[in-house]
Amino acid sequence: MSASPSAPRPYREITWEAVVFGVLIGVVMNAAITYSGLKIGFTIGGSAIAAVLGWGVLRGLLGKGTVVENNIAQTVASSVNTSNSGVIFTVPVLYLLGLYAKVDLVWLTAATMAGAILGVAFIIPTRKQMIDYERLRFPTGTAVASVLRSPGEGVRKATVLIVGVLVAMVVFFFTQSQEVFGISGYAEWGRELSFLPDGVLGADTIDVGKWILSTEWGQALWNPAFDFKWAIAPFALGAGFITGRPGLVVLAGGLLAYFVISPVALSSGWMPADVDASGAAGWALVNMNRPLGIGLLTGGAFIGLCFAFPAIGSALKSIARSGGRDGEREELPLSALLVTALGAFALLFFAAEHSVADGDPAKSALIAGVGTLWMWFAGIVIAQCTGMTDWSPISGIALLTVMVCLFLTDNQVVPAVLIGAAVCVAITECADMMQDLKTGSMVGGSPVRQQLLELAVVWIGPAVSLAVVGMLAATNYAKFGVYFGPGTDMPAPQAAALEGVINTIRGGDAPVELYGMGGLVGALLSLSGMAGLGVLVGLSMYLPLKYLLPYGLGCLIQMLFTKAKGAAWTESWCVPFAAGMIVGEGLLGILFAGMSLLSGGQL
Amino acid sequence: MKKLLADLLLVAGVVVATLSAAESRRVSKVVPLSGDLSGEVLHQPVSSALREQHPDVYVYADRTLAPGTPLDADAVAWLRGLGLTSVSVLRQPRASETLPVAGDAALGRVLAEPVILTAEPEAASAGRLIDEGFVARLEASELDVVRISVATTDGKGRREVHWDLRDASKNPSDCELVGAKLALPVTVPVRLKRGSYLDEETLARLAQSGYADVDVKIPLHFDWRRWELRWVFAFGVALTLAGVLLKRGKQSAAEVEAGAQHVGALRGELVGVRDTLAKLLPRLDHLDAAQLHEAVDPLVAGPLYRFAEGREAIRTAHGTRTYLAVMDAFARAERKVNRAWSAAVDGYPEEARDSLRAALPPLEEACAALPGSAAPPGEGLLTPDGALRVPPDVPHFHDAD
Repeated sequence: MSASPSAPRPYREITWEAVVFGVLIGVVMNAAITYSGLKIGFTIGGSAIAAVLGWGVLRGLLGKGTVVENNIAQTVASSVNTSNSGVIFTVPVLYLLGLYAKVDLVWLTAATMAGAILGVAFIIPTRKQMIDYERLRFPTGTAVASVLRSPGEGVRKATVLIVGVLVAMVVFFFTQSQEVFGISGYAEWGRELSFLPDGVLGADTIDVGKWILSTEWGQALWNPAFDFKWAIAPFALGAGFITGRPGLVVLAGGLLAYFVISPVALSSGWMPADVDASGAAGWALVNMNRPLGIGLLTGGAFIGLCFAFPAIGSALKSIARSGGRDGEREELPLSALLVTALGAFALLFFAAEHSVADGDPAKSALIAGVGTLWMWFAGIVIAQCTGMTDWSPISGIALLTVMVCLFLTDNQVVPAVLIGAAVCVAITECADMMQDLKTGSMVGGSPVRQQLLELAVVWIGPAVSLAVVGMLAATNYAKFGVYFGPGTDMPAPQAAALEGVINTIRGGDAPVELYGMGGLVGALLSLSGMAGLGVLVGLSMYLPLKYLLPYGLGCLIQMLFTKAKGAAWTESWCVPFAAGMIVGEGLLGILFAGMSLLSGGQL
Repeated sequence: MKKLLADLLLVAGVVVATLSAAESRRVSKVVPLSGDLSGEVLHQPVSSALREQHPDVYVYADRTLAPGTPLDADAVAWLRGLGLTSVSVLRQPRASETLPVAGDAALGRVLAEPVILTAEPEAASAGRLIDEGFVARLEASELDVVRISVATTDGKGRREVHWDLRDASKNPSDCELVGAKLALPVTVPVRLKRGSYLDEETLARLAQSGYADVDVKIPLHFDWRRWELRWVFAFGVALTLAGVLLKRGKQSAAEVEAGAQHVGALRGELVGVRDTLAKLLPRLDHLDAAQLHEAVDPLVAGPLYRFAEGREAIRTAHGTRTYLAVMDAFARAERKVNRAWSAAVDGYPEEARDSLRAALPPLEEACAALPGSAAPPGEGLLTPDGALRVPPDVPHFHDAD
């Protein structure tokens, strides 16, 4: 900490250095994560990595960075990076379905950029409701705040954070070491450990169910249909710890799906005869748990939104007043947001007009209008889920979004995916904006500055993601004769799942009744007065249980520490460690993704 | 007790409702062997091993009926001979139907099985991974032999081999076609995947490849009236609703009393922060960045944190409107204090001072909005020497550091 200077200096917050650094690191992360997302099916958040690198560059190299300046840098970086999941969950399906030649790249880019801007504009008015009133936890946002505050927290707390980072890096390293460096990892160790049955210790999972079944008592008591794999995922443990007790509901939903519905469905003969115990969880996920979970999530979110109307109304009034309060504006004015939203809506309208087969302006307006409304609703759902648990239900919402878009476009896939991509980009940006604003709130950043910058740069992300998807498609085609999916080493798993759903919907086999029944149960749960109960149970019904288990363990450990040492002590000493776990895995994950991208998939 | 019962009802209701909802997607149904079973198809295999369960029955032959076996008179007689009175059959006996490619009959349906379009040859590059779908395309092509690249047995390199597509006995036994890569480019026909959507263009392509008919999937329609567990689902929903009503019921007197005490403690925290700031402001200009950090840090980690953690008690005791008014002002003040903390840490004392000054008005506002706390500035949490005074009933956060 430096001594008081003789003349007051303006506090560094928005600076060219922070913005340029943020854009550059955001573009790099976006490209690397787009690449790895197409290979493995899920993406990594970039805020924590940007915050760590921000300290290194802004303060270490340039000798200038402040806490709030670094907050701006991570805000910019994550907004440029985040859109990749919205793109890779949707756009590659056009390649898989052989429809890419029918897409106008300019309009696809314009629609996704419009989606990104709309997402940010829509979520800004709910900042007060989610962060100031409901005080949602946003575990990654909290972790990033820990990183940003670390220089002022004293040596001991900074050490705790760094130890957390190192532990996570070491633990995560051996999940990838064999594939990336040829160094033996957990899978090889598992084969060498004589006391462990073969296959219990995998490359990145521990199959506890398999171990139980290898024992005599396990064979007598354990149901082979129980999916009891644990991911070796420090980030999940850390996020669970930061979430604490409320996160246990997420575990409950996972147990319902994987330990009740799936085994009962198998043992009762509800599944096809060729599905055995090892395939039961997968079959139940696609045919029962995912549609039910999406229904619960949507129904729960709708009721939650109705309950939140007083808070949202109060937040809007507060935003309207804030211009005149103390001469300082907290948020972007509603009029600016309205103009931005209208502009983005117009872009969406023209994109729809250009891609719908009959080109009817009324239909295009309907598509753009419903797409915009859905964007608003789904954006709030995503932001709330992320705020409560750190899990983003993007895959489920993407499926539902494309289903809604197919309905609007009379089963025309190209405009449905185009609007779906715009919506998915929008909702990922909603969650990111809110994470960043949570971080900003914890370090005293100015919300209006964060919002302004996010709106200014958010359009870059979709352009980068689409360019990378296009380049990889072209490379794959030249190399394998196929863009993505079977026949390449880039399966694009989420887009492949979307392809299945699109074909199911177009074949008239969409499980609409399960969405409806789930919606009713989710709505009831959210009426119980427990915040977001329906949303959390629904979300966890279709998330992979192997990640929910360490997440739940993190929640339990936090509760134990709170009971033993008190909430304040736990917050002060354990949260930095948990934050380090999230950051450490993210750092190594992005490093591996970058190495793989640069090596052209050789690593 | 009431809370426990409400939780139990919620859990039981959700389990019953979701399980019965999931059942609506079951692929099978149980039918008695006594009724008319024409058109029904067996869901699970049935073998004569079942005789062990019915040793008194002896009129049957050694046999196994595979899933998908039509239940004709012979099969039904055999099943009855095993002593069975009911059997599990597919809910939808036929998963697909054959429709003509010409006309609109197949329009808007999806393929039940993959289809090779022989009229559409496509070049496949060397290096392409060979999956099961591509094997089908190779086999449908005019090629007899294909050159492939396979991983060596030690997994460290690759070797090229010829793979005979017509005579498997000529192929090396230590490698497989699926998972290998093409070593040389080939031309193979296009293959439409299972589930492909049949629009006009696709039907025309099928016709061009010589298909007169095509197998399409029959959608699984949901029929509420035929759903046997609909009343179980309704029961689950009713249980959930009962749990919700119990949860939202009136609070007991003890709960109200506990809530009021909690709000009293929160009020103490809020007033304490306000008073601390009020006392600190006149001295701000004499504090450097390090001293400002020392003054602000305990506020952030202590009373501000505790107030935020206990905030729900305000909503319970005074309603949503009061809660929103308090939290709106509190959050503005908290952000200013956080900014002061960051500025002090960064060595910007002016900004830290400005932020602390700006934090007081919203704190006053929050105090005014919280019933019972709009008292004038008192002793506060600050000792005469500027340190944070901790009320005896509140555990000091930094004691544990």
